[in-house]
Amino acid sequence: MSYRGKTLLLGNAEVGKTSILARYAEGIFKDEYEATIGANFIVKEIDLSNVLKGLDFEDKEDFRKKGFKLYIWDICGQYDKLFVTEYYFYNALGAFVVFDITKEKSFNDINLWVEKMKSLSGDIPFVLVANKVDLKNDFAIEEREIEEKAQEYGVPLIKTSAKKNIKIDLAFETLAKLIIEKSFTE
Amino acid sequence: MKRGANYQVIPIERIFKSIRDEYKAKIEDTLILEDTISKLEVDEEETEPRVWSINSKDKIRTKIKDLVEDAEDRLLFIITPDLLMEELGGYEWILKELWNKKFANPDMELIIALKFFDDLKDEIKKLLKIGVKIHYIVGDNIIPFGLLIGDNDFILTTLDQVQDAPEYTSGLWLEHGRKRQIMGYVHLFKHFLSSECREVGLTTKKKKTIEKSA
Repeated sequence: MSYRGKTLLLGNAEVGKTSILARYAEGIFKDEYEATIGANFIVKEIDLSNVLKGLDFEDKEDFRKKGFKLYIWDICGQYDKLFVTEYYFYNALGAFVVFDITKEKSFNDINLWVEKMKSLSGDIPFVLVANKVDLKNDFAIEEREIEEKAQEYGVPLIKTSAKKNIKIDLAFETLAKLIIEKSFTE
Repeated sequence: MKRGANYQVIPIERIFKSIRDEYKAKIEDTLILEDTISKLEVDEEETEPRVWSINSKDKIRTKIKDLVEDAEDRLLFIITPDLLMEELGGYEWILKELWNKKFANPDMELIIALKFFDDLKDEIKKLLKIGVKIHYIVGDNIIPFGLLIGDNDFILTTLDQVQDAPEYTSGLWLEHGRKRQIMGYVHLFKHFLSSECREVGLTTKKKKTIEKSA
């Protein structure tokens, strides 16, 4: 049986969490928006060829042989309905905190998501994801501000576009690497 | 003309024996009646509707198998994703069970709803070929419940495990349900099908035709 890690996709409604997941897991992009109710769940095996580079731990060969699956929970982004979904945070090993680079509020609300994640899942590794970078003319947040935010948390920042398939795989591989690092080397 | 005797002398032992035999027969009759009545009472009790709570993955799977096995007229089934997931035992255990059921009972109504993924394609084709109606669940949300309705029973399971993958290990099982008790759940099933699902059908491959050039 392969190794597995529960992962959360967090962030305000309409930032593109479900699209990121659909792009990563199925290679598709849906144009029309449908709000996630409760949560969405997908299992995806991680391509370890890049992930294991530079990592050194005792069970590395066994890990490579058995493989690594992310159990990805895409959590409903309506923060006021979060009480319904808090239960889903339990036992997570990593998270993506996603915001829409064209919507300032989604960036300002990152703190709420990080706080909620830390209180419910503990001090787990996460990746900050700035989505919709294809909409260059509509950027609502200074790139400098975004980079400062990532530095403040001490986490990787990945600028993605689910629509144009920009750095989606990289985001998942980065988080997978952080999870493996934390689980095996700390 | 000679006349027969008006009275007959019967030995007293014979009279008492006959009385004893009559009582014995009556006692035996009462025992048979008592036994029959008690059996009837037990049967009546056994067909009374009962609701049970089932709380474990294995018990729920066993009950699902039982309901599938016992059904004769219909099976309506919203299959939760945990019953099909490779990591939780795969899909064969249940899809083969359903195939066998429909194959042995071609007239039975068998409708299922499930979340579609590529690995299921071949199994789905097999089920469609023997007349099972299949609906796939659209949208990107985890379904909150599963439901299996048999002839006079149903089991309703709810999402209660989110530790790694979603699992549905809390269930309510109605045994020997009355028609009116099941009616609402059949309605729920049909409502789910119409609002959350699309029906899957087999399409025939178009033969390539070679157009002859003049």
